[in-house]
Amino acid sequence: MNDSLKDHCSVDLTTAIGRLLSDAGLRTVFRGSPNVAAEMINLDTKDVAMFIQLDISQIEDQAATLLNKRWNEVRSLIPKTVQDLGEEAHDLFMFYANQNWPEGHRRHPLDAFQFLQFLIGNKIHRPSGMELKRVRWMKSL
Amino acid sequence: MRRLGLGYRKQLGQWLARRPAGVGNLEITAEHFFSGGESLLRELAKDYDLFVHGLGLSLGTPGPLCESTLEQFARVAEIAEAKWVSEHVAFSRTADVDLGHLNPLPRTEESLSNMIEHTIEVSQRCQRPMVLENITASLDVGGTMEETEFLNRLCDSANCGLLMDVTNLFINSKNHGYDPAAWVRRIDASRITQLHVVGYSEHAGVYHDHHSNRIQDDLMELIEFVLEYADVQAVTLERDERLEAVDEIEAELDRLNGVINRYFPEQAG
Repeated sequence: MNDSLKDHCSVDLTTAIGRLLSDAGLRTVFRGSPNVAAEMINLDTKDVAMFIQLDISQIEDQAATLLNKRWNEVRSLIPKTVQDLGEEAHDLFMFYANQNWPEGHRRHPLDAFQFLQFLIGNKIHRPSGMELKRVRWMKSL
Repeated sequence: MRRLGLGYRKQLGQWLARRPAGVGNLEITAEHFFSGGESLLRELAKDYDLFVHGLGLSLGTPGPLCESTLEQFARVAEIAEAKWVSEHVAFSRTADVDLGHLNPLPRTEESLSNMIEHTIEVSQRCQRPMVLENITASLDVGGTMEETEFLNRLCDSANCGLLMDVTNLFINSKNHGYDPAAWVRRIDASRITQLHVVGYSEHAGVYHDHHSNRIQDDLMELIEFVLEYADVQAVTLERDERLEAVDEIEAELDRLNGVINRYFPEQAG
């Protein structure tokens, strides 16, 4: 890519932080080499110095906070499913949540609904019809 | 306007309908009324002074604000006849992803300009004053200026107030190791309009804001310090958990009222 095109497509620092917080793979790259991570996302050259100085342990903590906030919301919406899944519920949610980021002000019921779809789609668990109906209705409000 | 109030949560609706003596105003979460609830808002507005607080405008995201979110936010503010509206000094989404919760901004000139522009836009759209809240985060992104300078310049340039979340400040000061009183002293007192307060949580030496605990004594000392420092217009108790413990909430309000009356005796009744 030539320099002018590269500049045109470059991402800003806030977007780059968002990518780090939502992409565990990018965090792994960053841990190995912040400069490689910056290049990989085509970070604006003026922001590279700040980006590579980010503390990866703080980034991991913040990323975990985001996922835990989602987990707390979702488990309150689908308590029966969480109870049925037992000790696996948290790990299954984290696996799903790392790859799916629901949008909008109805994101919590949407998150719960998409998690149930993930469980059904991967034949992990058949959730109760009542919970499925309830979060489907809530996300549609 | 009475200074002490509470973050409105629907679980508290029946209790609030009885007009408890300790509650002078209510802070409404805008997103909770995006899908209806207009008649409830109008009822609340008859009984209480209301402020409208946003979670999802993501003022710190570069580029234009989300038009539909802004439109809904302004609609809620209008129905609530909000005294002022508020949001966070943070970003919760980017062009790529909706992270769903608040994240700290780089404290740079670029980021500051973006926040100023967005704050002015929201205030103009809502036709109301705006106040901005400091957040808590385990991540410190850094930047070319201190957080206090960033906040002072933001409030000054956008002509808005500061919603100082004293609990967030306390938590950040513990987790990142600084003196919260010195932080307060670096803030322009004339901008401090509203306070958020709730007890913190602590686990293995790390402090959290679970919005569930009673206000601890060391946090109350910091609240008093801020009340002495600035002519705060409103103090909002923020509880999101254990909302069934209404007696405890009433006791917290009594305690806060006692403190507020010491600094603003014209309110004592």
